[in-house]
Amino acid sequence: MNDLKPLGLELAKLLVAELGGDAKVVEGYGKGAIVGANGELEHGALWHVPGGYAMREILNGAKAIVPSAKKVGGPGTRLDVPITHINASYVRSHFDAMEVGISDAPRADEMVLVLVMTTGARVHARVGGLKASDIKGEDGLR
Amino acid sequence: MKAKIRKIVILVEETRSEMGKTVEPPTRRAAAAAVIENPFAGRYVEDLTELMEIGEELGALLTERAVAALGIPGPSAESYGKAAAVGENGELEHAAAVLHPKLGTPVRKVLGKGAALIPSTKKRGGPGVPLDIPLGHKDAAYVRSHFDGMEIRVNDAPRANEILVAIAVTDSGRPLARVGGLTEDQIKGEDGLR
Repeated sequence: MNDLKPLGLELAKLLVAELGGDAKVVEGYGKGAIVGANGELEHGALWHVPGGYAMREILNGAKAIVPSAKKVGGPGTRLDVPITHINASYVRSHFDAMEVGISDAPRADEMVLVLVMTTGARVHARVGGLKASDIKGEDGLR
Repeated sequence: MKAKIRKIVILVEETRSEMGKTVEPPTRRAAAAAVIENPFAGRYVEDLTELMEIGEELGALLTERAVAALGIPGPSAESYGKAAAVGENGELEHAAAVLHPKLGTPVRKVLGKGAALIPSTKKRGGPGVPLDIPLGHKDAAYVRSHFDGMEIRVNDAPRANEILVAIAVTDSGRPLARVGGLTEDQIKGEDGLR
């Protein structure tokens, strides 16, 4: 797990850079892992700490649990990475997911480690629930 | 029932060994999915209430089918999750309407408790799109042994005017979970996190 911390930080910083460079624009996040066929699902669980905590650090101490998905698969496997609001998991407009995959990965002895960030709500979000503007943002839920 | 269901698909996974080690008892999980007609396919409708009500129906139906497939009483379920794939004539928001406003309450009724947020994914895709249902402990989201996901695929769904809705439950955590963190016996199970 500790070996993966630098990678977690690197990926989180890369994401912020791709989104324009200002961490304040990030509103949603998620993480995931695809373990190659010679591995165990459990190897993917090693990403929870370095991936999740790295993102929360880069995002100025985001409060909410980073949602995740993992699976074992061959090259080209697709993974739906769940997304929730970075400070309050229950913000309904921000429940979302992003499908990712790499056509030639993971090889049998590899893992694909994923972090996702978003800058806002779903398009035309209109199913009510807790709004981002109404959160207390202390307990990570609401 | 408001939902017009074309078919229901149940997937049960039972893991008996991992990396050559026996998993005793086998870890088991079930996904129950419904392929439904999307009443709002092909047009922008502001008020998605009908889909919210369909979500409530499916929350009950699919959770009942999933625990029945595992042969366990609802309260014995340990983790849960939900997901939906909207066909190409729909909006991602249609999936949100099914999954979020009203689906959770009947799920929790079947499983008894369920303090934690029900983890979810959603997407738009064509028939045969794979859909990952995230899983987390139903009373404490931070239980690390229970972070997981289950992939489901229905070859002929969703069609352009359909939505594939899935709920997954488990009777256990990951097989041979061993990366530390909060464990099940440590939880209070009230705030939904720990």
